[in-house]
Amino acid sequence: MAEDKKPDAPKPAAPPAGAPAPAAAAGAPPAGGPPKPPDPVIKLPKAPDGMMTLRVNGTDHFINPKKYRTLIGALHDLGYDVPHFCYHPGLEPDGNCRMCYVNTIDVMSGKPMLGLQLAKQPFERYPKPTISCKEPLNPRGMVIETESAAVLEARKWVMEFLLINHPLDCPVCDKAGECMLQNNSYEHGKADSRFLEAKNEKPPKDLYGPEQMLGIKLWTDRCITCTRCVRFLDEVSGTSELYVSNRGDRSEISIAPGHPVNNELQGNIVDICPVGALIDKDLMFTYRAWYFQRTPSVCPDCSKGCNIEVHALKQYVRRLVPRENTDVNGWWMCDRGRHDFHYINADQRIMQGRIKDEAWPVVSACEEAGKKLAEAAKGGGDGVAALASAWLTLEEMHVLKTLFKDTLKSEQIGVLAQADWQAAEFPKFKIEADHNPNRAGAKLIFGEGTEAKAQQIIAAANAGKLKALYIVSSMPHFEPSAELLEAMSKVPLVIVQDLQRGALSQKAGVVLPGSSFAEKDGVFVNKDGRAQVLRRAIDPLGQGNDDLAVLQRVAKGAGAPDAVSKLLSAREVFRRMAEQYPPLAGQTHLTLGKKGLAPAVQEVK
Amino acid sequence: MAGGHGHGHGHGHDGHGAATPTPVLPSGAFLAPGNVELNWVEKMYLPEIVKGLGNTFSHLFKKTFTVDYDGTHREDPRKFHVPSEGYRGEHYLKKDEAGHVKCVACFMCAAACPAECIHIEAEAVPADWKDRERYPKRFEIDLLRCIYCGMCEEACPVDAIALSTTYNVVSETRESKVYARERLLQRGEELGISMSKHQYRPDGIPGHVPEQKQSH
Repeated sequence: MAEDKKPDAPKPAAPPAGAPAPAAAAGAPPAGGPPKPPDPVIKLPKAPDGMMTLRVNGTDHFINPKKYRTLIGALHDLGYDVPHFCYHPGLEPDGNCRMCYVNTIDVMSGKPMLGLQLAKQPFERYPKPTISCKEPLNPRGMVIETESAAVLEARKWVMEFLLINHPLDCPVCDKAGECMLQNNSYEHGKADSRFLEAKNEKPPKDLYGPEQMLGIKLWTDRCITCTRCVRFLDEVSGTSELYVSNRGDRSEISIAPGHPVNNELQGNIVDICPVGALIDKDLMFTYRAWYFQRTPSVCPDCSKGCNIEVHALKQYVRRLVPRENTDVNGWWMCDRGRHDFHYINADQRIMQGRIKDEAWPVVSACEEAGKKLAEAAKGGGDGVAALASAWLTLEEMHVLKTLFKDTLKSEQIGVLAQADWQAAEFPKFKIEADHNPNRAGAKLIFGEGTEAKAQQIIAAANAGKLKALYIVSSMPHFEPSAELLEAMSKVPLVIVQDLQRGALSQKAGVVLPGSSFAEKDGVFVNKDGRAQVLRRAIDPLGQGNDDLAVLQRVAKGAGAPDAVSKLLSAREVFRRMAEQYPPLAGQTHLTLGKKGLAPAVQEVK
Repeated sequence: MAGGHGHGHGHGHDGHGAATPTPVLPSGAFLAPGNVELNWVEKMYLPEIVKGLGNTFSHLFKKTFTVDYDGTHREDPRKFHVPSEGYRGEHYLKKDEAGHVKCVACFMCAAACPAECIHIEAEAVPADWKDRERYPKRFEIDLLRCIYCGMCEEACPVDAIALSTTYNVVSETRESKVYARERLLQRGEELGISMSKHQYRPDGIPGHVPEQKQSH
């Protein structure tokens, strides 16, 4: 944080015990004017304009009060561990779990306020620990204690109350390992319970309708009624399927009969559930959270480019969850993207290079393809054409472009893209219609009008003008048009690099393995021109070659110079290519970071 | 210390022991702690060899401690070693009252296992199992990796896995050392100790399912 500066002078204010407020003896206020407020015991350093002073555990911070809705956001940003359940930065604060207690010190007397002179003082003062998720920031300055004895005590009792009806079934609960109740109980709770009575057991409920393939199951007994799910469905998805019924310790999350939770953001309520009450039916019982390898990545399913985390286990992608990026997706992702990973480890994946009429897979198929391309390009470069896709990363597009322009001397590069899907808009989330992650990137690398160019290439192929066609698809849901399939049969040499066996690979003379987003490093540019880095979550299934390596090996076979054909990592390729594209100048994967930068915005838009 | 002397200096230093209290050794040579200077009888070696052999032969007439193990004579303590009760040998899985595998597929044993030899795939239970929600569709222990530490037994929250005292764990193929669920269950039955002592509730009601509550 920029404004997280510590001034030199101030020290933790030691409240003078029993000292009378010096203000009392300050003398009579000047006649006629408003009464002068007494001087406070704790003198906070003056903050710069627009900022406020927040003294936490004796350390002063200058923060911008307009940046945070309530105190807990500022405390979390400053790095203080304030435990919480119901508070979520993406939702309106509700203040029902009472876990985020902090002490607010009275600036006048320097003591936690006892509530006698509540209205008389200019600074707000509180008789008890207060919940920081509902506590607005006071621009005149605040003094907070997050670790005082009273606060720790209060949190301990809150934990004990929350655990009264919570079953002790962590070993069979899918949330175990990433459960906020487990973590906070370990950090702030007691080891044992004094509750001897029978626990209030409530029946589990199915939140999905009979026709729903995907759905969520609710274990009502595990629920601590934080109402995060209720508030999410009210505020973000706007569908409001869930509500709280009954009162007290019998209150439970309920659903109206015949109105199941069925919207395209429902997976998020499983993520934000602080306990294991909401579990995705798709993954239920099949995983343990601590075994997942978690890799930050970017969802490829629409041009929004939601930041996600790929959870993989033993080289299998098992789960995609959203990652916080308030500039792109907030804390959420849609269910279309969340459940669209089954093609990665599917049986139809192309794992090896094959050449037509060869009985067995060819180990050097990539180099062979390159040689054939170079031969076809001998009679004039425009006899060979490439069809890239909007699912390739910038690095792959760059290698393909360099191969065709510099080595094969061909200008014939078009871009294929998946057909749009239906856009969807929610109160606080939008699913884009563009079903491709990197259309803006294709525009950046190849220039304008590449998709029209693809149509020209297909038309030229249909007219029999092409000698070779190199299709780099790697699109999981691409449905080739009839013209493209017809054109493929009229070109003597068709090289297809794709994820799955299908219509494209059947018509190909050479088939090369492609790779999905989980198998490669690279950069996608989303619709706003924000360049975001993908990271490799599992090893590439194409015998260890991801799309970039396959392209580099093809370039090697075609006799391209080392700059293109050397097997460099995506990070290195990006570093070397960035200078050629002004919006990316000076950037590397490291400077793009986990949340991406928006260097390409102006140029692409 | 075998081979303590090099080529350049090897023969110089013996015989000076009595004259100089701290013999000056040539560089590279040293006396190991506890080394003593030998007198001339000992240096002949032959009497010492006879002494050593005498010790060896005297054992021919003493009582043996070892077991003539061949794994077949279970009743004969001289032919079959019976380990003590806490011995950690081959694993087995236990059952509940209904005869189902007791395991709830919580992966605690796999998490505790330092050798990572336990492989579990969990699944929802068949519809007629009322007492729980998940069970192991696949449960394998790779005994080639196992170090018999017994952590899995300690970690198990429902007393479903335990280590028997079977130490005879030889086999002819690697595949047969990966024990699947059925084999682990069968092993417990053979030993007659296959019943889990765990109960889900302190009142001992197995398979308790909360009833649907009336909401006013």
